[in-house]
Amino acid sequence: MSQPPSTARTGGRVNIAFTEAAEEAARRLVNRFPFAALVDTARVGAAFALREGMSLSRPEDFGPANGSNFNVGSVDPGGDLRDLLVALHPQIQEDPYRVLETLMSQGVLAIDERVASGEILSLRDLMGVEIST
Amino acid sequence: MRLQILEITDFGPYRGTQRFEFAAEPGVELVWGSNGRGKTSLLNTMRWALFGTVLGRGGRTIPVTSVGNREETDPDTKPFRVALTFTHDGHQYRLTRAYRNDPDHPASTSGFRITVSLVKDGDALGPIDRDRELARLLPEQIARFFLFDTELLQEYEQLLTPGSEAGQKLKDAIERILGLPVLTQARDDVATHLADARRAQAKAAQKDKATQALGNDLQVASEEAEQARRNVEELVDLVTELKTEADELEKTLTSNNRFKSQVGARNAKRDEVERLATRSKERAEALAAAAGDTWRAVLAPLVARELTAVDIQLDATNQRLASALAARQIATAAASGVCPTCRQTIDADVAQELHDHHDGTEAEDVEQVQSELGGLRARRDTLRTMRADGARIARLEEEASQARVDLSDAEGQLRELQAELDEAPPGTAENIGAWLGALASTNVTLDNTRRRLSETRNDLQRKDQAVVAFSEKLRRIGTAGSGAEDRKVQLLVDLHALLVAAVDEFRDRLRDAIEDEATAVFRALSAEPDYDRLRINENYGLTILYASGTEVLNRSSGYEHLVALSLIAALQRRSPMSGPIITDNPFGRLDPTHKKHVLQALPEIAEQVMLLPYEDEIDRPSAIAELGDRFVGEHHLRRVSGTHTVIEPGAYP
Repeated sequence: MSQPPSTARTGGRVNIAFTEAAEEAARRLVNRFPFAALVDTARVGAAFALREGMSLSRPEDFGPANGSNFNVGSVDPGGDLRDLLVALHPQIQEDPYRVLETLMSQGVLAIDERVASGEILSLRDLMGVEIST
Repeated sequence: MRLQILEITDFGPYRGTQRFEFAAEPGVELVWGSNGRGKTSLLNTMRWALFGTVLGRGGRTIPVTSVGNREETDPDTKPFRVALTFTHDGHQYRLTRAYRNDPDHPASTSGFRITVSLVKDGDALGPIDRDRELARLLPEQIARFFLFDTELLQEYEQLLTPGSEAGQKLKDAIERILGLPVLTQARDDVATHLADARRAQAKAAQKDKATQALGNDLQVASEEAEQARRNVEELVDLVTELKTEADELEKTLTSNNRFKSQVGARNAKRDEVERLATRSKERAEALAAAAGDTWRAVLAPLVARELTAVDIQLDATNQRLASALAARQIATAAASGVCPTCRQTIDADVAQELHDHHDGTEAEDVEQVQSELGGLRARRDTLRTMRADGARIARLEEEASQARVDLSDAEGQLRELQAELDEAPPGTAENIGAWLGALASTNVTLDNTRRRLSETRNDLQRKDQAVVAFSEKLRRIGTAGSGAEDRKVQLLVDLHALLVAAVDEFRDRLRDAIEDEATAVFRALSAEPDYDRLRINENYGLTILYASGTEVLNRSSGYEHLVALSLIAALQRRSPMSGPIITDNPFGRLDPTHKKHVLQALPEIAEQVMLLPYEDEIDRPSAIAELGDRFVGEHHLRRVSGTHTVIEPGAYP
């Protein structure tokens, strides 16, 4: 089912990036959580935005995505994220990686905000799972 | 002998001339001194005055060139002097021993010379009278029973260990005091002559063809035995040296007990911090490896909800597909009059019924519903592939967090322990670490050397037996040329046996006397009514016995000290000499109860006792209360600088 993304299936999109504000937030998250690299926060941001039902459309005030460029192969090596996006939202017409580019910035900003407010203090909070220890 | 005044000039840390007056009354004086202030040097001032020797750690002799007071950076040899005033048998003496510049004797290698003067009742004695008087008053051989470091009392335990090299040395010292050397030296001299005679016997035998081979055997055996004897002597010296070194290290560590335990705690905590740091790093790495899948766990609830929704849609769409297919079959049958499934013709009335059955609504397009179904199945399959173990990530996060907290706690405790250690004099922690390492290493070497010594002793015994066997064989064969040598050997064998028996007999008598004296002292000192008496062994080691005669096993270290003090008291009583007891570190290894026992014991042994404790060695108020009217004076050693100490009256302020 999952296949490595190709330019054909990504509509020719090769790189995606955070917005400037999102990249700053992502860097704070990398420092705050045990993520190995910024690209991990991109995946987590997109997942969080999807879970929270954030809009798939890029808002008008989104701004330019001119942060560090990630190759889509780095962000989504097996295409799982793209496939999942399509499975969850089969109706989308847009290039899935453009949607993910929107979601990852929106997601990290939202997470960063909740970290700042103390709502999310750990991966457990982020995942929203109840663990019996 | 009773000490009255000690005048010290530029000796060790005692700069200038300092005068110390001993208490006039019988009892115990305390001189408090922190480590490094000069307690051992104070003991050495008296040792120098009386015997002309200065001893360092482990009883090693310190060269006089390094004794004079000087600044750390001053390499020059300095003069010094000690004058000791004392009374003995109603006479007053003033003994002065100085190490002074010697401008009149330029040939002197050091440019210094030692001068000694003894004034008796106002008259200066000539050199011969002076030396004779000093040897009579307090010979150096028995100094260990008057001027001693209590820490070294444990050496008396060695008397109970058969074959112990330290015990043998001590036994020799005891027997020297008691006069046995006259006999033992004669025995040993005869043994030397006997060895020489056997070598001569071998030479004589080698000249005769009949005994040449045996003579050769005896010569080789004698040489081998001699070599084995030299090996034993060397190993005995080495073991004694190592034991002294280990004792000194233990003593040093004991006197730094407080810091030692702090260093121990600090080192243990440091190890714990290292372990926790490793654990924390491992947990963090495990979490970092798992954290890459966090996004999947974030989506897990959404995926689960969506899967449920898709499954419901799949059920509904399957039903729609079934309806669409059925509608299409009915429509085909009604229109064609043939059943599309079984290909049979349908009656007109049945066809009409099917036509009537149709409710008029438009049936769904089967292909479109099938396409929808395919899409839903694909979505379901995609969603099902999403696997995330959020619980594991959360657990790893908990473990990593706990490991960080544990590490942080331990690091805080380590900082506190280190801060306490930082209050110690500079280098204390490093020194203690080095001392502990050196002690462990010395003990390993000591064990190995003892093993070698034991093997070498056995080897010597075998070789001695071989010498005796060859010598005896030669004597029995007896040739014309070796008759004189054989007779000489026989004479010396007999003489040696006689002296061995004499030594044994004299020793038995001495032991009986010492046992009685020591038991009398011990009974006065012991607080344990069940301990009845002491029994002496052939090495003068003393064992405590119950009234039933049963041996007290595993006696405490406090009783070891009491037993040692009982032996010292007995030796003093059996010796024509009597004098003060001056001890360094008198309580170092003892618990409070046994410190009390020692305080009780010492005034019973000698009329004049001076104790040189360090501050933490004993609780001062308790000691003074315990001594009562036997407490007769108190001084302390005040630091002026690292090379300058002043003796002042009273306790430390």
